[in-house]
Amino acid sequence: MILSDQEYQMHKAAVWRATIILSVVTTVEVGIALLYDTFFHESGFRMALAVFMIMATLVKAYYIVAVFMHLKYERKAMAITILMPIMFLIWLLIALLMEGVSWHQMIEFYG
Amino acid sequence: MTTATNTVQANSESNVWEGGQAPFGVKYGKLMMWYFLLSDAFTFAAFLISYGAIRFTVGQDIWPEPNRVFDAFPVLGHGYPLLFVSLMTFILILSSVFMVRAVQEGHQMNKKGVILWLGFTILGGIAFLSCQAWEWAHLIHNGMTMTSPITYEIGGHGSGAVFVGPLAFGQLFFTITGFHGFHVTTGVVINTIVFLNVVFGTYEKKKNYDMVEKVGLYWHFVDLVWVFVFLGFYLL
Amino acid sequence: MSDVNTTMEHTHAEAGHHAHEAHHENFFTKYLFTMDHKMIAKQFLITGIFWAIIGAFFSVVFRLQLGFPNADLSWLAPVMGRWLTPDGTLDPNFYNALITMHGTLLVFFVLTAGLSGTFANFLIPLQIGARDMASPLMNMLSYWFFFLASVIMFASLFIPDGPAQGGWTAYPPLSYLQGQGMTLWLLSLTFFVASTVLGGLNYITTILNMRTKGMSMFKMPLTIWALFFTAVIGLLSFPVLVAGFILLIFDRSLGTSFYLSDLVVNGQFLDKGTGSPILYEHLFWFLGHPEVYIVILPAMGIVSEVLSVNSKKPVFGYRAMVFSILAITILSFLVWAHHMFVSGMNPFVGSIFVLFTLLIAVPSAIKVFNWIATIWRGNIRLNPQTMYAIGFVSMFISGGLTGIFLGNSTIDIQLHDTYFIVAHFHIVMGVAAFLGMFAGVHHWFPKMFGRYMNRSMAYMHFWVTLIGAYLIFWPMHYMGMAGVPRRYYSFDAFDAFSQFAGMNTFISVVAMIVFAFQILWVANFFYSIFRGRKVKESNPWGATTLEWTTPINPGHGNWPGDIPEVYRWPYDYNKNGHEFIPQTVPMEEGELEHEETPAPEKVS
Ligand code: HEM
Ligand SMILES: [Cu+2]
Repeated sequence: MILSDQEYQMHKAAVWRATIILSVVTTVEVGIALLYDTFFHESGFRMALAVFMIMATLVKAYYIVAVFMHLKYERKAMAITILMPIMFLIWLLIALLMEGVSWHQMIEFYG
Repeated sequence: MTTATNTVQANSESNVWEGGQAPFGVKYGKLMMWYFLLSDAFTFAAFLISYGAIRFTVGQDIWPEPNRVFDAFPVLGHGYPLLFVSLMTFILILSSVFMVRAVQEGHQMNKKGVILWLGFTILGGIAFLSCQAWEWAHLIHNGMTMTSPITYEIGGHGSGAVFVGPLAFGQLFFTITGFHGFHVTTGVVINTIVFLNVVFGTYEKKKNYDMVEKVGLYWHFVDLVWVFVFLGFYLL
Repeated sequence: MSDVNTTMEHTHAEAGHHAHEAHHENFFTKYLFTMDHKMIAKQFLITGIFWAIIGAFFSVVFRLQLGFPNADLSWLAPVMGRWLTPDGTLDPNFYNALITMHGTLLVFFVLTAGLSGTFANFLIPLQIGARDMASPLMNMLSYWFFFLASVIMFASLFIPDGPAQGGWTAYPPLSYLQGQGMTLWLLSLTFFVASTVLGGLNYITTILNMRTKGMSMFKMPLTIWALFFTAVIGLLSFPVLVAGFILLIFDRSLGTSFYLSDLVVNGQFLDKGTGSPILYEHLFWFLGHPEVYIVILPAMGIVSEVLSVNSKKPVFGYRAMVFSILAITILSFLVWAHHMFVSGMNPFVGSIFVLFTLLIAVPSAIKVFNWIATIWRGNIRLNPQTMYAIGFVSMFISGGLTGIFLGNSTIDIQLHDTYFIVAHFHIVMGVAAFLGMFAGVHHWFPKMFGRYMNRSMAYMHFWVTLIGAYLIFWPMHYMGMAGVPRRYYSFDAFDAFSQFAGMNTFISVVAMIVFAFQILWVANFFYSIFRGRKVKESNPWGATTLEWTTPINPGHGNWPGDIPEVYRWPYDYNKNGHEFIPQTVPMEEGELEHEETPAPEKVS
């Protein structure tokens, strides 16, 4: 599947673009983590921080899967078969985090 | 993609399921690799979700602060929170990018290009593993093991007040980064085998570099997992 | 894209090439390190039968203890050796080892590897029209990983500490406190997972990529659909078990405390921190529940096929069947914690699991109705495989109904870990899946070995097994409702349970009889391989699917000539005056596809 020169250049450009995005997002993540640590440590915005970090991670995951792993360019049906099962993990995550909270409460309660 | 290719795809997609052809236009080997990675993702997810459950059990109050735990840098010493792990992350991302380039050159049947980029990929993998070895050694040296808890000085190095974290932190850290490191190691080994095959012209004779593409997927997956490990242990 | 198609043809041509070489094979390449899917299927089947005998024998031994407590078993000394106490009774620790091995062997080694390993390998290439699996090499490795797991498990029977004694679920802290047997158990099952994943990847990609021309997804027999989703379930659930096992192995050998909290063992305090055994239960049942569907789905596929062929009627509600398999697959990942209602888990989360659990009854019921509608007013041929298949439906209904009781957490508080559970899952999974497996073996035996199995022996075996299974497990419901706990060595200490002593004896006697008849079936199986009546026609049951278009003893590559093309769905029975129309027959001018045809008024 040798690409035309134009397509080849396009693919190359897409990859470098993704690289820059990944680097920038990582830098921003670390930067915010450090800022938070220095200035807002006692502020109780932890939840907001966590949400931001998770979002940023999902952005990175998207670029790795879509561009590096080329899933964006595969047929949609194939991408669906790979992505749908991830739903099961979301339920596992929700259930186990709720469990974690409840185990914590049990320890608090019974000592 | 251009409109021309889009219409070609749309035309053929209506009957790709009719048998006699690969419905995703993908050979079975690549498909297997994808589904294997999906399956492996479930293993990692199980670990990371267990991490979440245990962390919630322990409670945020006595969970160690990543900026205190991971604040060392070789030669420079303490006081550089997250600096070293950022370096590791960049190394792994770069290695992943090199791999994409190797795959692209493979599609162009450019043997020299594949050798160059795959070589860089492997070097990146080795660099990452070395960093991880240093980090582990450092943490173990500071007293965190599978059976002894993490400790650090609350106000930074030299401040005196010592924080003693839960046992679970070190156990989870070594288990999960260890399992990831195990994947990186296998990846480096497989990449090296493929690299040798490229050098000896195996794929040139076969007239395709599919193997590079398959190990490429595996390598990106390792990067993908790292993004989540990074989130769990260093950012949250 | 086009290069993909050419490569596919290339592999086909390659396999066809192998077909001509078949006579160069020697014993090792033909029977041991074979890459032919049909031979690998037979390897799985025969290894499975081996384990089934051992696992069933173990159950007879512990039933002896339950039915005849403290009886003198010294006559068993040659087999049991030091596992008998000096006065000839069974050692309680060994009782635990027996139930553990019984569960593990039957659930994993027989009903997973033995059942889907056999039929996925055998049927997928034959029924979708492929020369072999996508990767015959990985297929071979899949068997040999299973074999390695088997060897380790077998070895664990002979080590000084004895085999694992933690139940098939191996909950910590019990499994934490055990010796080498548990280590080998974990190691063996890890290899087992490797085998399942290798196999599953192969099954999935083969079904997706290697279907012959015309074999669209909705022209595939239900066996293939069932095996496809079985592989999907295995691929997504076993890895989570592996994660759970790794943490358990670390707890056991590296001194970690993922699953352990501050424990007092033998009066000694272990300072283990904040781990939770419930975490293990979650990771285990995330596999454990899907596992029960890994066991039952292939049997369901086989039963659909057998019932349709032998009542000479199209499967009722083909698409509904497919979508209920899909629904079962999805739901099976959402309900795992219904095994843990009384574990101390969060009751609110538990109630969500109740909801999902009760939803499973819907697709299950759809399937049951469709099987019944398939044979309804059919011109049924009551050969052994049909009997087994009907037996399956009966068992599945009986056991599924008790599942609905258990799915309600309030009722489960009373019934959990009693003999009610034992009854529920043996009926719905154990016996039902075995009956499905028997049906499959009888149905495809002619294709596998070119001979028929003996019918009279099969009928005897069928009736004894079906009636025996009900006699064994039905009373257990009452014991469970009275609170008799499972996994107890002896009930001597409980006056309340003395009323069941007679029932226990009765159950044990029936169990031994049923066991004897299983041996009869195995004897029939091996006898028929060598001495059975020879198959004369290539399509003995009058079936439409592709495997019957191969020669009576298909060689490597399956079809001597080109792979046939497919033109119609697999259930054209009793259509346009034909008893059956093979999938390879082109549609006639103006002929309607099944779904467009009005249902026939009455079948002769
Ligand atoms: C309507 C469908 C079903 C429902 C609602 C259901 C529900 C349940 C529940 C709630 C339990 C846990 C009981 C306890 O331990 O307290 C259970 C146990 C079990 N079920 Fe089912 N079940 C259903 C169908 C099935 C099927 C189709 C199979 C197998 C093919 C199966 C196999 C098992 C097994 C093996 C266990 C016991 C595992 C053990 O504790 O060792 N069930 N079922
Ligand atoms: Cu279940």
